[in-house]
Amino acid sequence: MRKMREIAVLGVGRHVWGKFPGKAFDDLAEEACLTALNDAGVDRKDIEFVSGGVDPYGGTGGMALGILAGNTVSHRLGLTVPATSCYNGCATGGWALKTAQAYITAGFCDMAIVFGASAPPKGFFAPTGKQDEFDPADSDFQRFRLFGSTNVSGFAQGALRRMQLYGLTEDDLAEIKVRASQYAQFNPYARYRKVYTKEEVLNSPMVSYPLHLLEVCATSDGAAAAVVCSLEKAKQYTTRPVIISAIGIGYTSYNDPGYARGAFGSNAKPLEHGTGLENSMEYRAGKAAYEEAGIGPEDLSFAEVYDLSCAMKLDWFEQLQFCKTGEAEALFRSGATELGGRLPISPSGGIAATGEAIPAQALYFVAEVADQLRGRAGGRQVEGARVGLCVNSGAGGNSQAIIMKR
Amino acid sequence: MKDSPKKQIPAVEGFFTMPPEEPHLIGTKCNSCGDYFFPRVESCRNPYCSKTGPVEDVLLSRRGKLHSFTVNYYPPPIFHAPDPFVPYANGLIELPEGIRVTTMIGPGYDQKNLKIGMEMEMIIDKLYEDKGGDEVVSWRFLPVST
Repeated sequence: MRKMREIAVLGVGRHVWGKFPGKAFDDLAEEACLTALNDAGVDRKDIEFVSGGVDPYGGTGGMALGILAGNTVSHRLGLTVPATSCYNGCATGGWALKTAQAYITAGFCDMAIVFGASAPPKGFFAPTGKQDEFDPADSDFQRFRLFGSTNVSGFAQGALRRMQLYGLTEDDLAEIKVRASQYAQFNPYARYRKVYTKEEVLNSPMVSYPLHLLEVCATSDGAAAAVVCSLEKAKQYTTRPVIISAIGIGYTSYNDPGYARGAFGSNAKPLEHGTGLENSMEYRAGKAAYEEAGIGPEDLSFAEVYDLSCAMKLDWFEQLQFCKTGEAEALFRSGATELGGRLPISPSGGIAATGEAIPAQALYFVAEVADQLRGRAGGRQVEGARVGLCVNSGAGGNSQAIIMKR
Repeated sequence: MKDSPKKQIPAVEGFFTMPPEEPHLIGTKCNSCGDYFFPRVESCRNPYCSKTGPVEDVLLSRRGKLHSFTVNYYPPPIFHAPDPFVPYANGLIELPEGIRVTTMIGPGYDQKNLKIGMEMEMIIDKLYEDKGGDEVVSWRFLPVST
């Protein structure tokens, strides 16, 4: 892909993560967008484009309001400008941002608002109808029907490989959650701000071995938004904007070692094209972002990773080239990835702290990185943070690595 | 009156051979690049293949190596969990043809019995009983007893 020009983030807004039975996805989105406009100091009449993440659960029975999220929220903000909506699984918010970046750098507009919001049903993400209501050719439906295979089941298979191949222990997994919770207590947007002990984590119900309930993400409501513009336009508002240097895209490969490509399995064969880490969409996203920004992992002040499970947090250490394959456990145990260490990873507490609101989650991290770079992260602040990375990874084969600086 | 034997119905059509034939998963081979696919495909999906076929359906190996697995303690909606409920294992098997296949494992195997890389063999077994009392069957893999 061709290198894109940089854009600026003028302001961000987040609704706190949690479960809010009285609020629809567009209620949450409106709050996040108004906060972002206020943070940016931008009048809504200066917004020229709306890029929204689809909420598949939004509207009655998943109908138009959620699918047309861009328009729905545009109306609620009193905007009469072009609006669009996209969905790419957990990468949705990042793709909404990528869309705005493309519009701005192509010269279609100078200023855009980007958002993602979701209010999903409680519990496992799963087909919610009855057996005979589904198309037998729907492979994702068959995944649940034939194998009882939830998303957590997939995360657990990744964790199990780390255990049997690289020496990850159940104690490590619990410690990952404990340390995340110590940061979450300082995060006002987190759903879970309680500091957990290792015993509490290990005594929580086993969901899919080796992952306990407290070691996997909870389905959550949430909303995040950002006001973005060209660097030229940003000069009218600030002398030191937060800059997005790169949005690296990682698409899944023919023999991606992850579980993204199909509900029934994946290809494992063509050795001549490699079968290792370098074929994962997450690695490819990181590599694309480093190249686009012209920096390496050693230049980062901190990173926020997409830790849908405690084991997945360690996968990212390798995918983003913080260490070699099989060395993430040692890197974690060393403390180098904690606040005050060489490269703090997920000082927000990560998804362990928030749970996941699918189309909003990637933008949640963009907002978090923006707050860190502006020194607004309070008890979870990374001292002297200058360059931050956040990532996401969506079902079906979408992953992004977003590098921001100030 | 004699009870008629329970009829066996495949949970999905065209994915595997049914008893009394030897159980095999049915895949597709590309005769241009030699790569295999499961489930069946109508054209080659290897981006490095110079063509998109011709392809032909083939029976896949009954044996493969355990790539990874888990034991699930909470069944999702839609799934007919074991009744009475016991945790159930599922995972991925890497076949000699160079594909990984999602599968149920067991019944009767927990994490203490399973090791990544171990030899596994495919069987056809009951998934659940439908309203008419017939057995809806699908594939599973079991460790090869040595």
